[in-house]
Amino acid sequence: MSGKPRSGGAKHGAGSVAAVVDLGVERLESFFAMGGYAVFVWPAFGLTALVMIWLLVATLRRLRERERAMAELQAASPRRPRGGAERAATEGAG
Amino acid sequence: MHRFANPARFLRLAAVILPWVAVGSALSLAVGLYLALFVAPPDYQQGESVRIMYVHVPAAWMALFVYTVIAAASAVALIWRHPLAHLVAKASAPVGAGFTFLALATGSLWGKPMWGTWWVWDARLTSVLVLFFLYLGHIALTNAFEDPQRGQRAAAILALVGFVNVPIIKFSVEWWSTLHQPASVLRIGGPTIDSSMLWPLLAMALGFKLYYVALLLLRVRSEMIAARLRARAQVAIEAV
Repeated sequence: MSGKPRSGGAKHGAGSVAAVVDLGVERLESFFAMGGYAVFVWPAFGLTALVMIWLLVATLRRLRERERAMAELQAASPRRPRGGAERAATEGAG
Repeated sequence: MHRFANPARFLRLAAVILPWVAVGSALSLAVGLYLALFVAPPDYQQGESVRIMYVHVPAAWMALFVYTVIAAASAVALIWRHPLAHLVAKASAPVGAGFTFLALATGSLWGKPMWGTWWVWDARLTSVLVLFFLYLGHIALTNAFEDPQRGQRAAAILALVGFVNVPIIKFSVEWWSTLHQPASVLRIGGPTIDSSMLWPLLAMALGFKLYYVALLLLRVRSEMIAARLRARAQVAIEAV
């Protein structure tokens, strides 16, 4: 189970490196196996990461869009000092 | 300009706070994940499946916390008409809905191996499902009207009426006999959970909370710009 036996003639050092690698692979495998519950544990963490990352990305994307739209509007028609009509409209919609 | 004076201060404050909160969240989540996956012990009964707790419980706590924020913001909005309050509620609802969905989904993934079922209509699960529908209703109402203010006001009323669900959720495991286990952290007499599990849980919870704050700051800023864009469009229309 722990990997192929090393060929005869390998030095003592190579044998213990192989053992360490095998041990590492075994531990990695058991980590991913999560005691048999992998099919439940990893989707739980994965789904959590997915939802939280997606919310962040969507938020940033919409923020950039709106900032860009605002910048374009202000470049096209620079804001006058706040007159009565614009303030009324802003307060109505705010 | 007085309407946007406070919001302008908010934007300045948000810009200062955001980097700290974002970095804090990333660090807490990194530490929490490391502790949850590599350091925390398996449970003597549940084995490694107990690690789902480290995402399920923070998500559930956030589902309740965000709704409470929305209810408080709704009260402030309706009573004092603070312009930011509606935006805080509007910005928070999708995030709260996301956390509630995660609480339900990760709960199912935990329940299937432990209880033998993906779902049961016990008091805790049912009331959290109701919470999820309240979030969806809030989002729908906010966007249902041509006049954004009407939508925000309707959603605010829904948020306040629905707030009774939050203590119901919290105490459901005490008031009814539920499949869902009783409280092991936030309870009179202190936590019954072992500290080797409590610390990873708290680290994850902190990470989730700071993540929400960061997202809230970004989303409120986004909503404020959207409101200004609408206002300018309104002026352009009226100028015709």
